[in-house]
Amino acid sequence: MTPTASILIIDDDKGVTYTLNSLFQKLGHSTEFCHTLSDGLETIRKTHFDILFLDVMLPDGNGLEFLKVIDQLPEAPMVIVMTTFADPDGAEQAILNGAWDYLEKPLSLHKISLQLMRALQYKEKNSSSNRPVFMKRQNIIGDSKEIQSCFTIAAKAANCQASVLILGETGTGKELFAKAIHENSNRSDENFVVLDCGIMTETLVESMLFGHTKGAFTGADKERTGIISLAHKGTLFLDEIGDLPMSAQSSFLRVLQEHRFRPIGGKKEIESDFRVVAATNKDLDAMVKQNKFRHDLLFRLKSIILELPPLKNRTDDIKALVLHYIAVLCDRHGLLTKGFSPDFLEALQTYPWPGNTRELINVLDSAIAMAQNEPTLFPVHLPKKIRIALAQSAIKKPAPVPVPSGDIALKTQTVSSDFTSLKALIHQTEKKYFESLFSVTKGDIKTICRISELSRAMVYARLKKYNLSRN
Amino acid sequence: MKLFYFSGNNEISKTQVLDIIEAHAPENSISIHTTIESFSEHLRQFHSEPVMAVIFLATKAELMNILFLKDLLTNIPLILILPDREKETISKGTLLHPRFISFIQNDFNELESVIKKMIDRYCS
Repeated sequence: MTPTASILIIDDDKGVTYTLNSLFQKLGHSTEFCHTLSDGLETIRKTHFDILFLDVMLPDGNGLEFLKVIDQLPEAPMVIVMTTFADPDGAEQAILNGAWDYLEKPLSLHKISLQLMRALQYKEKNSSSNRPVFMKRQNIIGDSKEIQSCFTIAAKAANCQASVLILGETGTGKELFAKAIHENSNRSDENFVVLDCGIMTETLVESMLFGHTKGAFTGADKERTGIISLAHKGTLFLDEIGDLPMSAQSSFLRVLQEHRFRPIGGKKEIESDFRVVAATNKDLDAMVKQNKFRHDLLFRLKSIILELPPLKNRTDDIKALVLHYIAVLCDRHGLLTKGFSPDFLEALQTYPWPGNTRELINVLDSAIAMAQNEPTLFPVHLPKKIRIALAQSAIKKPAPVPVPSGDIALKTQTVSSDFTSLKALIHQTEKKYFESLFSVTKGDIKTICRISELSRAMVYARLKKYNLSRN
Repeated sequence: MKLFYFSGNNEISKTQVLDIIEAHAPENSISIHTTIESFSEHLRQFHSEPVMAVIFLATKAELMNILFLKDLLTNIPLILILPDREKETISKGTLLHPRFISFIQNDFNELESVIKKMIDRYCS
């Protein structure tokens, strides 16, 4: 019995897509179709397909070239190529690039069904039920749903050769994930080479990427090996890829396509089998629209997209992060591992972490230093910047007071009965303010005076008024 | 921002690199170390501000010693100046995942532009 399948058709001929779509659905399969390569790639990235029926002559490119991109994706579909202009060279290229079969149009429905059945039977016999397992997590800590989905994508990336684009705010761990993909891949014994595109000038970045011969330009007094060569059989990590100058983008795109390049000033081309992982916190799609980033380079880079969540979106992981990094940092400082109070953890879980995990680690380091020989961390050990932010966020804004307009004497009889007195409103607001401030500062009078900008006597008066005491 | 500078024994190049750093780093931000022990001790200390490091290695032996500090250097943006251009030396240097690699025989013009950009990034 033929297993049911998920099928994608990429063909700009709407008659073909309609006919195939109807046939496959009649056979009990689920089908989608696209009319361009770029739409097809977007669709494949979002949904897993068992089989791809791929036309050759498409409006935005040649399907046979697209095969190379498809072949590198994790769990790539089996591809059946269709073409009106079949030729032996095309057939050879299709098969060499990983196609299951190469069919000439017009297509007989019987032949299509037969090829589909054979492909699905082969796939069923050879499919593995093992999902890729992410063995080495380096310092990536967390078990939240958000980070688990990142691990799943990273594990798939580690098991294939496709380019990876890692997106995320500063401090979310883009380089950590890049290293983890490398360490879990079959390239882990080779170099992991970093190019920080943001710290290079335009001329330097090309020299760094491709290398140069001695005398290639003024100042080139020694030969330099490019990092693309250094990354041969390994991984090339392009950090801040959004800062790569346009001229370098063009040159690098060619290398990404051909895996061959010539050093600046060199006569001979060099081959390099490298795998690219790129990272950025910029919106590259927006940069493409602004003509600041090449759309074809972006297309090549985002074979696999890994979006890292900001820390505020995975607060479930904060406890695990705190436990891990307190132990690491205490060990580094030669201290016994410290504990932490529940309100210390609560404070960390409340703070929005604009600097993400990197900021959390720095804050923990600071708290450990503040605590000195105390065995337990409390909110008072947190940096003042954090405590102020928490105190300020704890103050709830008062409900907006309805302000009568026009002639007050005439409107008095229509004012809502919820309109409270000004004195009561001030009392409520002040009480909440001091309750929050007292809690966060653990009743430290000096700090309360400084934050509230009140004298010691005034602070004591308010603590007495609102019955706040360290006891 | 705190900038750690670790240097080896090549006096002329060491001075040149230090001159470049001093020209661009904020006042009182540079911490100079000439021994692994001192460098290691300072890397273990608490730093409230962003940290970057420039490591100048005059010999292969110094490179091997620095590799022992790999874990302490993990989250620190690093510029590495290597003693030679041999494949094995460069390969070992990449284990530290530096942001930029230069060599002691270079004229350091490129190094200066990179140091300036990194300092600007971590100061802002």
